[in-house]
Amino acid sequence: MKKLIALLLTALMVLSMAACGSEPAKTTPAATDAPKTTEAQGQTQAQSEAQTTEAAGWVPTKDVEFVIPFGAGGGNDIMVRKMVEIIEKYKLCPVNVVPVNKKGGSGVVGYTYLKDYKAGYEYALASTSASFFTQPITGNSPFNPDTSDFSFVAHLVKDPSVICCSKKWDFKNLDDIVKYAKEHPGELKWGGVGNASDDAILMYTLNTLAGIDLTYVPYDDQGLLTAAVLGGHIDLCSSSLAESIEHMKNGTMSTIAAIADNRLADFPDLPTAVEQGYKLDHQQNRGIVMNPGVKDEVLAYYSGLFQKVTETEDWKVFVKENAMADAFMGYQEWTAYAADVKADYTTYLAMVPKD
Amino acid sequence: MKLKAKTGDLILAAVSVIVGIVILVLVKVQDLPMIKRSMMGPGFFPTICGIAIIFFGALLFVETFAASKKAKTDETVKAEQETKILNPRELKNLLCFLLLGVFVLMVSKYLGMLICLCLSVIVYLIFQGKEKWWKAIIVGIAMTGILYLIFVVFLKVPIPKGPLGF
Amino acid sequence: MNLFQNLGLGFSILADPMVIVYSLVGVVSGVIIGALPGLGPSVGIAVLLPLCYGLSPACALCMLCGIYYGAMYGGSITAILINTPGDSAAIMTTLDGYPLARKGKAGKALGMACLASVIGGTISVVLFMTLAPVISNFATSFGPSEYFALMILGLTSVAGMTGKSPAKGFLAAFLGLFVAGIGIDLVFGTPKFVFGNVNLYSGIDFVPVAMGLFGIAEIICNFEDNNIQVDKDSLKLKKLLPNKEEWKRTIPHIGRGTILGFIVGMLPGAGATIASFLSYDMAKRTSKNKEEFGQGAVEGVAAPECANNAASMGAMVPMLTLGVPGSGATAIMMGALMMLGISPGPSFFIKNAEVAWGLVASMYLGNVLLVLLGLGALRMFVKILNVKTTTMNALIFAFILIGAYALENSMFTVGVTLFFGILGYFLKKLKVPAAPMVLALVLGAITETNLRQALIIDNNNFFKVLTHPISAVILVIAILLAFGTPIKNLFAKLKKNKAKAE
Repeated sequence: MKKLIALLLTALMVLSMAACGSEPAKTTPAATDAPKTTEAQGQTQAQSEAQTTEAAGWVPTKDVEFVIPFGAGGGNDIMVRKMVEIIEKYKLCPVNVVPVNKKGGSGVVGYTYLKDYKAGYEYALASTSASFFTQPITGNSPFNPDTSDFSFVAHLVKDPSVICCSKKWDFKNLDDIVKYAKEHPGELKWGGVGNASDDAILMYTLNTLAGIDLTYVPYDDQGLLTAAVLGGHIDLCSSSLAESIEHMKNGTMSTIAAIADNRLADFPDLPTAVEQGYKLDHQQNRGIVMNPGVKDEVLAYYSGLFQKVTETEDWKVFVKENAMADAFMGYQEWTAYAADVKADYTTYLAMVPKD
Repeated sequence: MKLKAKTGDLILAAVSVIVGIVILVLVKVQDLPMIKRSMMGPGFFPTICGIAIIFFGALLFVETFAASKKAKTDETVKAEQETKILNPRELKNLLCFLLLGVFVLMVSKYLGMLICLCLSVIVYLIFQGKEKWWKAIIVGIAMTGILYLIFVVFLKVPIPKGPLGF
Repeated sequence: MNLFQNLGLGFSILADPMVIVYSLVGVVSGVIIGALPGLGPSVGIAVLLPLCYGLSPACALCMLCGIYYGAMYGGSITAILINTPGDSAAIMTTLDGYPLARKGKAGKALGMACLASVIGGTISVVLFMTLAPVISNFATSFGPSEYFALMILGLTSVAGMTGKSPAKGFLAAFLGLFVAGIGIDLVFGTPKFVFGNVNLYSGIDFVPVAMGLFGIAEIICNFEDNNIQVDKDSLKLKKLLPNKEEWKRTIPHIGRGTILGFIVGMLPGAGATIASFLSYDMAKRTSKNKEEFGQGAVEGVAAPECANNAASMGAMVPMLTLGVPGSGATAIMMGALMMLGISPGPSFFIKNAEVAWGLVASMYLGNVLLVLLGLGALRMFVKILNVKTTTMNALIFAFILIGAYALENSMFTVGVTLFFGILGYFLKKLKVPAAPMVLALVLGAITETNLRQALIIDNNNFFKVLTHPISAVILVIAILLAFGTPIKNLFAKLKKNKAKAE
């Protein structure tokens, strides 16, 4: 028994050592983890908040869970944690917003977790990505991306991407590719992440628009896809800037066309696909949703909160660094827009061969 | 509980063949073809696995019978085949962990995971009877404290919380 | 600029005492996290990442690197002492480490693991430093068909793990391969064996499976108070270090394992776990003491341990020079670098020379700290063995369950662990080896994905997939390894018969 206690004590000692060592880092204001703020801190925060918030009908009174339906370190995770960091830094919310990763099933596991709370539950948010729309349409999620299953809180950003090409080709623009592909059907390989994803949608749309036959090669990881394009195993891919901007700038991958509403700030000389005469402008939408049946005043509160987040300088820097396009929409606008996005995805996914 | 190694092997062989067949049936039922749109289909690997499991199950039958034949002349092989592989205390242990595991799995949502783990450690120790009950409780609570420090305070894992807030 | 000048630049960042403090914090927390069942370097870096906000890039990098190696070594502690791999890369360490511990040589095994890790780590830092700017292209020369060949090579090592009954070994392997296939089909999006359960959509991860098969199964069987006796004397520093004869036995394996580990680690997606599998297999094949493997051979501890540390270093090469992370841990580290305003990529070593060489210096520092900590704190680790078995079992049980939960923040993984624990118990009783199952589970999914990608790229021409130059060479090696011994035996038999006939 003595020995056991000794063991426990030593374990505790090591732990406390580790904990003390990391103390300085914790006290920096920029910490984005969800610290269990002590009650005193919580109160002062609440007080300062009470003075700054303009008369809102509803204010949260307990910690809010922010479900990230993907793993740590991914694009979605980084975005949500940045927002939480900004909320803490500027004390925008009287309670803690706690990010919770629930990965699996391309987001479905996370949304299942969200839906475990009753309809109208006010303290759980979740972020969305392309799979929020694609999974139900391809029959791999029980949740419809509309108001029957979710309340829409705010739309944040769009992810522009760039069509890239392996160095072994000297294609300069989409016309070059289309010309070659017409002469050699099935020869060019387009790599993408997942089987019914934004990447696949872009390729099948291009196939349909230009009447060509590119072959789609699915990958399960962006890193492996990038490596395959660098090694020339795959000819083409679409990639968001955040993922391979270094390669685009260094010329280790050639850039063909931007998929964006406007030309990209990082590549002002790269024409968009639309400018090149192909109506390819499908981009990923990132927004926030809640359970269905949440009252309008609650939605208005969160919508206002995230509007404040997107107005900060920190957020603008973050969006620029990650080459996203700021596209904030409040809850009413996002609800209407989501219906359009759903319709678009249904059209696009009809082009992906099913059987 | 007098399962001999030989009987065990035969049961394993039979179970493998059944598992293999079940896999093949599932492949059919879930409509997973080996070839689809002239590409390797989703059913290719599972079908191979199913067939291989049946094959090696059958091979195990053969191996076991071959060993039985040998056992008639070879004492060491015989001894090996006749060893009892299960013992009641182990099975009791197994059952105990299984029940506690299911308890943690089911009840964590309501009581909180740490409390469930604490209770199961205490119950296990008392059940095994190697520690006095008060020692078991001390160990259980001390362990919960360590788990709390590591996983909640240090690693910030969002474990299911109970009514007491941890 | 020459190498030494660069190194000098790198080591200049170590002048700041805070850098050393953070490095130490990293190594200590890495070892602890690594030792917790299931939690490996990627989880460690992910959860401790927030501590880096607001640190200087040098401090943050040193801390992250410290966590990375610390966790790699930490995984072996529990693998050796209680037969529960702390993370997936330590699975192979259980095979010989635990038997060594049962023989009362726990100190020796831990010492060996630590030294092998450090030697593997140090050699690969040198490799990294001299080769990284040059060889990054090697990683991209591997396409799907080459990966497929490599995975087949990995799967042949199943043959070496089957033990007495080949049928049982292959049964386990194919069961693992089947489990690897569960989830949404990558090419067609068809759900395979998911029965509408959303948790199965992305498949079954091998970490909870390994925790169940090794950890839970072990505590079910092991309840007698046959405490492993550890001689106090054996924990003296002199006794921890391998003696002359052991050095002689292990050094060649450490050398080979390190180089193999580094190369495998460099390939995106292969990683430390596969490196440790391959290295163990290679050691077993090339060792003069084959029969000792699985019974407690020091080489069996040294080979996988040096390989997994070397692989973790190798994985840094494509991450830093191509911006292509090769493993979960490096993916998160890349996120951290970008957070610090450094974007890895082709120009990393030129544009961020100070950070790049600082990183190299921090790797040396991390290794030194690991030796000090590993050997210094050994006595404390070994104390675990003095706890009563039943008490230990209860504690391991609780740690495994909560560790399984922490993997994906989900009760489902806890269920998976429990299921494979019960299954593992029966398999253990029936003498079905668990290692081939985990190996097949790890390699199976990658094999399938890459074969199917390779087929699509080569227009469904299977022959063309096999005849890419690199893949053809690897496949020939695989065939030789798989059938080499039987063929040799056959020839020997023929010769014997001939001799008899004459």
